[in-house]
Amino acid sequence: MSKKVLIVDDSMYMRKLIREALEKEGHEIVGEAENGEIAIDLALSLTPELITLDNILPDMIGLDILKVIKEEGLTCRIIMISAVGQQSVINEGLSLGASDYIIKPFTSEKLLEVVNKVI
Amino acid sequence: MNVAFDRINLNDTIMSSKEEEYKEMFLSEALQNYEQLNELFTTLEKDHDDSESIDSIFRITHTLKGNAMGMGYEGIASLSHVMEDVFSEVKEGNIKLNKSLFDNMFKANDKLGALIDALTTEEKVSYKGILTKLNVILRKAREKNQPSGNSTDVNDNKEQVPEENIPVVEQETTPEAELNEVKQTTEGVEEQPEIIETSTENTDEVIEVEEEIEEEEIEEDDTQRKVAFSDIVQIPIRKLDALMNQVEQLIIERDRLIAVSGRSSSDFTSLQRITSDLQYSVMDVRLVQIGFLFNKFHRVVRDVASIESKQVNLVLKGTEVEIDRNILKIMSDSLVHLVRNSVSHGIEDAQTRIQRGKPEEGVITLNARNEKDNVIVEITDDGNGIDTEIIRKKIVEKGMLTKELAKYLSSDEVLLYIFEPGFSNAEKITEVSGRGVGMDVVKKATESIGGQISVETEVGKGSTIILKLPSSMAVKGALLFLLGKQEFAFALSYTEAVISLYKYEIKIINSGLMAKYLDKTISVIFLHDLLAMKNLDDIHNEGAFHTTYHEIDDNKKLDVIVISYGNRLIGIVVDKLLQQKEIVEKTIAKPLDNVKILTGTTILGNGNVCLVVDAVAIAEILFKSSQKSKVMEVM
Repeated sequence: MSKKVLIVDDSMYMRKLIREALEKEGHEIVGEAENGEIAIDLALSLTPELITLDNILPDMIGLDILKVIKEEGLTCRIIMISAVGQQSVINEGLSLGASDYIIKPFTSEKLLEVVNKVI
Repeated sequence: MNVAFDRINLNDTIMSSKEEEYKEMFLSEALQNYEQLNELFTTLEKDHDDSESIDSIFRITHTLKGNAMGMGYEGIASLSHVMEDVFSEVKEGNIKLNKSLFDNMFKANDKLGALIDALTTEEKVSYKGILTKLNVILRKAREKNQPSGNSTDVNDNKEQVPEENIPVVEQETTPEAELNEVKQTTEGVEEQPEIIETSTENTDEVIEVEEEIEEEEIEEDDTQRKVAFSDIVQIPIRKLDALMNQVEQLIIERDRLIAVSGRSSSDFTSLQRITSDLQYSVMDVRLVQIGFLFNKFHRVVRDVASIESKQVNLVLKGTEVEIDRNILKIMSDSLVHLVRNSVSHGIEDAQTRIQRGKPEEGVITLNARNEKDNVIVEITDDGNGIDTEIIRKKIVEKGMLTKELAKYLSSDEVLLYIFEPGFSNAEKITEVSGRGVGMDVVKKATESIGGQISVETEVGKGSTIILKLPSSMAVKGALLFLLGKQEFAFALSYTEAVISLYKYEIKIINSGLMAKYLDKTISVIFLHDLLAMKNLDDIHNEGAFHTTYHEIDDNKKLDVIVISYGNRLIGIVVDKLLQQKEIVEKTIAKPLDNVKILTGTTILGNGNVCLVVDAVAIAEILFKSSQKSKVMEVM
């Protein structure tokens, strides 16, 4: 089923990669954010159903965003995207309400597998 | 100046009108806080060591936070809270001032302004992004300062949005601030403070004054008891509008009674004096210092200069000059546009300036001064100047005039075209200009309040835009005259002189009429001819302006009012001059509101309705018609 997705990643390359993979599956990308500030504003104004959330952003970390989103009572699914060796961050994210996580680098198959699992 | 109303207990028992009044007070003070912050950030960005500004920012955000919490405005409260906290860390030296911090603070303040506006417009403002960003900056600063702290905990910085109206002093603040907090909690419980309270009977109500920071430094023991009264009263502008309206009606009624009494007006000398004094006192109350608006331009200049990578210094002069608050409000967008224009199109980039032998940093000067009943505002830049030959080309390119015709315009006439709709001298649409407000809109706004706009320029040296604004809007001086049996008036602000001419002194030139005035040739028009037209297009009819001229005797002496508009003088022939008088002009009601050459009406003492003629419209009609006759000359 098609979902409204917000992509949060500071790398344009990553955003493009995620966008193309998800669009192929019929999802609608409602927004892209390159930093946390934009991510929060877009998440609250666009109310996406799914957010792919990179953990390291120029102005904050994904956990900061996750926390605000939960505080605001958004019910969207959140997939954390994290580099290897950050298990503690992932654990904290999951405890804060993230649905799942992906470790970078990843293939589009892996991404779709996790997306399909959480939606 | 800051009349801080203490914690307000918004419960159901307070009537909603009270609530409205609190809201109004909050809004006016919050907007003031927002402006002050803009100014302080700009000052501080120029001089990072300005500890006074840092203290002020801390104090203002603290006040704003407290007030917003009291009103239950969570967005404003949380954002000003985090700004306060950031500056608390700045004070401690834990956060360094740098460009990125200022960008964030300006952005946060913009959101603060938007949130304050949104209280009225009810628009949605997204502020959580910047809020979180500032919280992260704060967290990092605190982590750095407490290396033993647990560094991955994101929870500790978020309890800053209190859910109740009871302030929580949860981190180190200054002693004054803490006192304030304590005071607010203790006093807020039972008080329902009157906001505007000049009567001394209500000493049990609390009006707290924060005149200067020093005044807050009260002995600790005193703070619980001390009741301070401000010498300043804040009044919502609508109350002043209502008061003004009542005074205007009183004056009309006074004139009517004098007229119907059949007694000499000297019997009413003291009534006239008292009512006049009253009128001027009310007008005076509405005056604000123009510096109130000028100070906002530091931020405007900073933003435009930063986008365009220019170095610009803003110099303010005559900030103490007073002007009606409504006039200032009407003109504020226009002034913003003019200042942006000066930075964007006036000031050159540093390299060009050096090549031209100018200092790297451009200077924009805002100058205000009183001239008779007017306030003159000049916006001067030491930049490019306006090349009239380029404008002349544009006039032709835009199809506003033919090439032949454009040649005949003097430099001054050419410059007037920058105020025409659809004329923009900007070569490209930049982020700064090209925002819809054009010079034509500035001109319209200026003229809507009876002001005038002009420009002086020298290529390579810079330009000055000169605004001549009335200092008060409600009452204007007018010259009354008769046309047939109807009384008319011209606003004195456009009247240059009143002269007598014999008909033989007026000559027919092409489709118009001309006469000599002070060695200059001026256009002359019989107002009767213009008002007799069924349609303004009739001005192009052969001899349309000659009708009355041909009907009268050569030796007839004529009353002529000389009006000046945009460097041009025009003689307007009327039937009989009456007197100079102060009138209260009302806008024209339907269906006359689209009559082009009238601006409004006023009621005279004899009960007659007097029509106020629009000098600007007449000047423009004549200008168009004379251009047409020039075409004929050329052909």
